Amino acid sequence: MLALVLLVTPLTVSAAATPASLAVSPSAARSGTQVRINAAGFPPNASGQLTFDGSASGMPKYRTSKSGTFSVMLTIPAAATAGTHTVAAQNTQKNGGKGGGAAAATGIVASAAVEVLAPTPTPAPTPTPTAPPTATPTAPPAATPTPTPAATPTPTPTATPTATPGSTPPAGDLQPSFPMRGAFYYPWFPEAWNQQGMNPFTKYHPTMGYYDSGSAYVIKQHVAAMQYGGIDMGIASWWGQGSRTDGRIPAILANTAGTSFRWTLYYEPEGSSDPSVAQLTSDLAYIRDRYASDPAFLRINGKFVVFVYADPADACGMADRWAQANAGIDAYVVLKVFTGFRNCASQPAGWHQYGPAVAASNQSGYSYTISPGFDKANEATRLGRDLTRWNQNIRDMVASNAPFQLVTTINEWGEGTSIESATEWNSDSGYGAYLDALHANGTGPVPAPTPTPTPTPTPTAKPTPTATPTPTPTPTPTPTATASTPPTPAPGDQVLLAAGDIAGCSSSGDEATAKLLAANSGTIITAGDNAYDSGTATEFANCFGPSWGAHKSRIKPAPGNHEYLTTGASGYYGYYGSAAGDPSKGWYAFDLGAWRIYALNSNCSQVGGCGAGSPQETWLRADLAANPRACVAAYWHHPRFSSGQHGSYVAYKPLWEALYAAGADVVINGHDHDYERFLPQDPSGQLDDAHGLTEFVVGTGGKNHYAFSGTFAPNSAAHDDATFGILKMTLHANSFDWQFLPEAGKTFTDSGSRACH
Amino acid sequence: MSLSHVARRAASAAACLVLLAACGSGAAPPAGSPDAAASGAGSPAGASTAILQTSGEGPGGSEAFDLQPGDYVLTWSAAPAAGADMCHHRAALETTDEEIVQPVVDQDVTAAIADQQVPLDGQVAGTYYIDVNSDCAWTFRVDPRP
Repeated sequence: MLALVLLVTPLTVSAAATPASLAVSPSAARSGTQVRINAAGFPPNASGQLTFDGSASGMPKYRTSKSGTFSVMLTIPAAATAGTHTVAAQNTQKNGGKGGGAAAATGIVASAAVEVLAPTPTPAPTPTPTAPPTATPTAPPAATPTPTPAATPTPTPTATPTATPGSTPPAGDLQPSFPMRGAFYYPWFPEAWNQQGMNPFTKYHPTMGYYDSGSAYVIKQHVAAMQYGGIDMGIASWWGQGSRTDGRIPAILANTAGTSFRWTLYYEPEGSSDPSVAQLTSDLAYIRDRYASDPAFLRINGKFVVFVYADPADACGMADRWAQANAGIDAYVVLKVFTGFRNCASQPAGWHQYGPAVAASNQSGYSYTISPGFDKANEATRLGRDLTRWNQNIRDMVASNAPFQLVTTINEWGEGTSIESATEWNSDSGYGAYLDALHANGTGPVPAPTPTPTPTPTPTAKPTPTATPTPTPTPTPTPTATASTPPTPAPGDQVLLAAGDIAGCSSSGDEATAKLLAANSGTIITAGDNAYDSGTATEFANCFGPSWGAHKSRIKPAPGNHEYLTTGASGYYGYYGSAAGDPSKGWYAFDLGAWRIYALNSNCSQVGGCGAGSPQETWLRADLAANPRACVAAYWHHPRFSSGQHGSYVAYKPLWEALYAAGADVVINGHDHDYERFLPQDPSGQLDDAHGLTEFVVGTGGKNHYAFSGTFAPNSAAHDDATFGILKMTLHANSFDWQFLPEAGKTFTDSGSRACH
Repeated sequence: MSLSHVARRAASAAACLVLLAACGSGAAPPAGSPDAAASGAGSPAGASTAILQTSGEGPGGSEAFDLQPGDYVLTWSAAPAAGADMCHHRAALETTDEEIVQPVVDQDVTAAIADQQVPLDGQVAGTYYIDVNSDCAWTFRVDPRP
């Protein structure tokens, strides 16, 4: 551990009247501990990234105030050596909030020199702080998602083919046997949600939302879903060495460990080019050396398996190239069929069809492939969905006894061939009607006809050029487009609209979000900090009243800390009257359709605490016991879990424990001025898909934004810190849908569905 | 503020009000009372008393207080609550319009920590408060920089 003394020399780059500068404090710190970075003279409402010696790794992002300042904590890298180091601030974009002036400059705005001195034997005067949480966060979406499979990078032939055939199977290698059921799988999200000017690029609404393929939770859910459907192995789309899909294979294999499920790769570059024999050899050796010995990789007769896509022009020459490339590798290669494939001199180990515009394809002796439908996001329907037909296709596939029985696809959402659960075909099992049918081998009951997909993707303002189009199998366009209809709420459904951190007289964000309230019927809940700066009666009247106040009769409020900057939150209770509950408590409950909803007061010191045995927690447990419901939601101001500047509040764990014990489903908070959704968790923050609560932080009511703290908390599934908006929840009798509605002119959204416990 | 003072507060189940004077150990706060009080607009030049002094346990915050342009020092102490082995202490100095959110501490506390000083140099004028995300017993004090 080095003792550091930070000698700060502000440097200026800005030509503004007040030069941009950084200051670091305290002036002495240890490596691995946090120092504060204060900045002034920056452009207003700009966001950016801090770097340490040019590296952004582990460094926080920042967002400047309207006066061009910011202050963030920075952890000195533990590996920092004695000597001079540099902390720099680099603007990345201009925030469009009120008060913004000219566009902010990008690039380094200011930096400060930091002198790291040699360690001293004198103990530091303060206890060594624990390093900030290091749990691996969900990877944030790329700033500019590459539309699906980007061009295959130029591979580096890192592995020289050797005479050693095949992979080395682990001891006790457990593998499926023929006939085996497989499914094509696409680990290319979130980047593939945004393609061809559409985001999300799909006509459907996956139950897990617009997820990240790198999420361990998502991978495990997919493996569980496929196993439920009797699928033995996944065929993961692979775009070459160093591609994004390549980068996700290790996590896929790791998160399959301990199951009987197996993975192979779908070699995609053959679909858009004719890779040389040397290239194919290099790629096969790469797969062999990186993945093929993993217990979760598919092997047949000890040989690692690779499926190969192909383009319509491919013929026997492709089979020849693969035979040559595989001569010294001895992989189990399964090529995509083409006309005359059976007559080629070179014959791979297997053949398959990938043509989801056709419901079923029997390649006798090799494979049988079925498709639920083909309805690409920006095209007319090629193959409509029909669960009766799907069940028949499954029965035919099983009866064929083909060695490979294949499904196109698990999650090619852009082409609309997915069978994982979606709002459009969800089911009581949680896996959706198509996997239910596979589970029953096509012999189960057929649900009601599938509703027409609702195309809701929001075109982005600037269409993204498509580098490499999504593989388009068997193009047989149908000239008639599927008509779109808005979703119709079922009888008894209720709508809940939510946000916190709302109105200030100097901001216009609340006017923007109030327009969303005006456009949507339903009950409105506020997650605290209704009126800034201090929740006075005047601020409620003059700042909140003109915007959200127009919908006051629909509001069920909760107080935030700003309300209590006025003694007893008297402005808040005076404004809302009985709608806010007992002013000495601030908590209350109400029914909304089949749901029980709890408004809680997280200003604990004002109401006798929030811990176990406190008046509020005792009341909550009693009311939950007295009012059992299939679906329960609660909302308050301070979040139990958050990646924002204020972070996660462990103090609310007892409230979570009460809700969790009662089988509650949803928690909505504010406080951090951003949007964040967490995967279902238990009160300790562990993933718990069976009983966990889905938490939303919706501090997007309009006051202002500030950036995330730099590291996303575990299980953070969706996040945005630059969009005002509201959360719209449609409450069904046994499930709920969520959708973040952005302010006009913004495109960020997040939506999904989930069953109640 | 002594370490033992913090420990005594940790033993108390409730936060208490401090306005430039300590409240008694175990004293329950008046219903609905704030955790802290401010002494009015601060001036770094020649001031001899704390601008803010507040204490509590668990999440919460101070009342609002004003700062004039200048240099200040924030002093905090924290200790696990009675019966707890550790706690996490996190806080930010913020303007009441939240245009400035200035983290001042974020660390685990396994034993009582007293009188940690955080320099607040070049503070801009404004109305501030301290937002506390903690399950510790804690104190905060803001003084003009000597």
